[in-house]
Amino acid sequence: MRILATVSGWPAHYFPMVPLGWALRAAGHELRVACAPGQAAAVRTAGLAAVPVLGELDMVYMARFANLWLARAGAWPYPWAPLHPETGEPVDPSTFDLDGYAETAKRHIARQTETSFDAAIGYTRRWRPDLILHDRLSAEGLLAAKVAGIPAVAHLWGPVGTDERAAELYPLPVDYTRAFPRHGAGMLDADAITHVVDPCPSGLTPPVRGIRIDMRYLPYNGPGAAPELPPAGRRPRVCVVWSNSMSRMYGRGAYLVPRIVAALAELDVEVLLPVHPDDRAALGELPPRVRLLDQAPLHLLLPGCAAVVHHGGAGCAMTAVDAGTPQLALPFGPEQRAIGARLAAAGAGLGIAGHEATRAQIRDAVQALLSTPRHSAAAAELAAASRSRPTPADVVRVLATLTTAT
Amino acid sequence: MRVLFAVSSWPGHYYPMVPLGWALQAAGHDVRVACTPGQHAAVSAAGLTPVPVLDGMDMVFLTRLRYLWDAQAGHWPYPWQPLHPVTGQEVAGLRDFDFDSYVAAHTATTFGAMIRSFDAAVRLARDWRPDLVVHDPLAVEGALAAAAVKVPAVTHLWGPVGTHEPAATGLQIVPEYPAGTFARWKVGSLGPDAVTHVVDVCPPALAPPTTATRLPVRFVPYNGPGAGPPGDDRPAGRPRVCVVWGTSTTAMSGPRSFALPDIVTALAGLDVEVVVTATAEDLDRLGPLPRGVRGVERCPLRLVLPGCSAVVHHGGAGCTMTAVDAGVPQLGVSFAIEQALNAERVAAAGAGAHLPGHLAGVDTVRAAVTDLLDKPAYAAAARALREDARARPTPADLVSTLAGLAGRP
Repeated sequence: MRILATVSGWPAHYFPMVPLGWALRAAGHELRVACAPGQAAAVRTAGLAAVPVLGELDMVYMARFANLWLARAGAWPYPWAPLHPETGEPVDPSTFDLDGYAETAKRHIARQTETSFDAAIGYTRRWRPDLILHDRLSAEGLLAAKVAGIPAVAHLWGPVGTDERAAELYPLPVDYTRAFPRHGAGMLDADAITHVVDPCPSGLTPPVRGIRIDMRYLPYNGPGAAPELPPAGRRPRVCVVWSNSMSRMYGRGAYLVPRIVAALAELDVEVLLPVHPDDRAALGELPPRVRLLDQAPLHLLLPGCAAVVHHGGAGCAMTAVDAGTPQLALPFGPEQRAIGARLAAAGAGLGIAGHEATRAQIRDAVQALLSTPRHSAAAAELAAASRSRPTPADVVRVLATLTTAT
Repeated sequence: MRVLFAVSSWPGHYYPMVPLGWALQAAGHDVRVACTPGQHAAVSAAGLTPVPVLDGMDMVFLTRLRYLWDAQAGHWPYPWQPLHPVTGQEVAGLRDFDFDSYVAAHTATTFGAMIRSFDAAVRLARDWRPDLVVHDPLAVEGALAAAAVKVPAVTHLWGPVGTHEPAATGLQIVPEYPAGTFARWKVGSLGPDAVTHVVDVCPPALAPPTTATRLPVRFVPYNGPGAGPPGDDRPAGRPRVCVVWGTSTTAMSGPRSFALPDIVTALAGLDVEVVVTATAEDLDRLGPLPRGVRGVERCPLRLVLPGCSAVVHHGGAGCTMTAVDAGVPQLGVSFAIEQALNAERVAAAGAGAHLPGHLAGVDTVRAAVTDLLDKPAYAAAARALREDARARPTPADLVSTLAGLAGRP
């Protein structure tokens, strides 16, 4: 069969689909990935064929824009100013002309969205896929499938589903331009999605409507090799991994690595610290027992680690679930907060709001992960549940039953 | 299970293994790819995890050396001389390069690198403890690593050329090493006869000669990263002919092997639309293109072929098999024995034609492509070959066979 995948403008949104893409190709099916030009390199270096025709909606821009509305509503929780969507400079919400800015921003968003919708519909008409896979925020795939009358399958990237109660989680894009009704495709809501690939083990089950297709999460965190590391010694090894987009979205105060490193220096642990070259300078002098590494795919770092500290991103969380590593999430965004809370509810981790987490709290939380058997047992249980789910190779057969193609 | 891939320093040698790597990963198995540092980027960009610890001789040097040896053994059909392995210039006489004296002068660099590579492969296998090793025919490191940790090794072929070609062809793709080479790792001789299993990507009509047990698989094309050609997928009116040129044909076979200009001139004289995909360098050397000819830089062939009525290439296994999978009649213009064999076998199956490089001029190429386009038997045979190719077990299907072989069903 021929499968078209459509993806939104953020690698972490579609990296969890990559193993299903490999599975499709390895079973002899055709796969193309429609994406924004800015995502083409990341799609290609996952081994998949990119079709860079979608509009460009930068997720950092979108997050900053949403933050300005939060600030206006008095719901911006941080003791520092939100950032300007384009310049990234701090903005004083009391003087910033948000309504004026929103005029331009909404035009930009509408234009890029229209480009995506038109391109997805047009490419679907020309290439004639049998089924469309799309990530949760890539509504163009859903629309193109409805217009073409073929099945669409949404693919989640973690524990946040399509049918969330909290609006701040943005479970689905908002159809500002009313493209769905204009194309006779109904409304863009949770009921519009009939099939959802769910990579989460029970315990983290995301709320969805429609038919759930269970799949095992297989970590793909971008290209790269494992660093050469000596085997873990007497001290427990703790990995600290931090997305540098946190400070780009939420401000410099959202770069917590120095505080985490200082907290861990008070414990008898070895720290693995992969860092982006841009972040090295901000780290200053590091305490002993911190092993600075070049960035590497997280799943290649976690074996041998007794705990991991991260920003609550779905990729980190799910990779740690797969590895059975207890985790501490220090989130900033609403989705990361939800992920941290759901991990904590499953017992496999702990979550503390990033801006409130003190050095002592971080230290004590990691100490708790290391010394309370409840956490490692829950993490092991979650990993076992995750690994017993159908593999992407199995899911290919499920997708095949949804189409009439061979 | 854990599966170690070991690959030689040439993407074309291991790209055919990539879909099997995907299949294993997508079924939840762990795959690592032992490679040289030079292949790190190409392996990662295929979605696999490189372990860049291997070493060894440069592939251009090795290939030129092989061609020279072929010529010294009388297996060189071309009216010019092969290249000097080091300088890349045509040798004046076949004895101008003496391998033994070269080795004597460069023992540390040639054998040193080889021993380092062997050591690294064995160390990796002992540390990572794979259940199975899959390697391309030239990556003896894979066979060695498997033997050292006593797990099965599988040689993944790249096309119609096998481990045991008839002596008359003079071609042996699995290298043989002097007795005792692997003694320090307590491993006996490795070579064609030590190969117990091959992954065979060819439909029966192209079956590569081998004495090993065949593990049949469907060739799923992966030709490296890249997007499809810009523009509409479907040709308008006139038939479309694709020309794809090897990324290294000139470096390995010399400037006389740059047949692209003649091929383009030949096709420009036909009532067809032509798409040429090649390296930026080769497109530059081609200069301004005639009307009706479009040049695109390094487009994965599998994305160009749908909609094409014929393809002209240099006979490389990757091009040959991608065209087989697409069901497109092909003309191979060859500059080395292996490429000639690929093209001969496709021609014998009726799905294409072969022109040895020195016979490929404007007229002969034009006549050959005209045949491919005009005689329906070629298209019919190409379609039949594609049917047979696609009826084979997919890489996804091969996973359980490999698990059985590794004793991890």
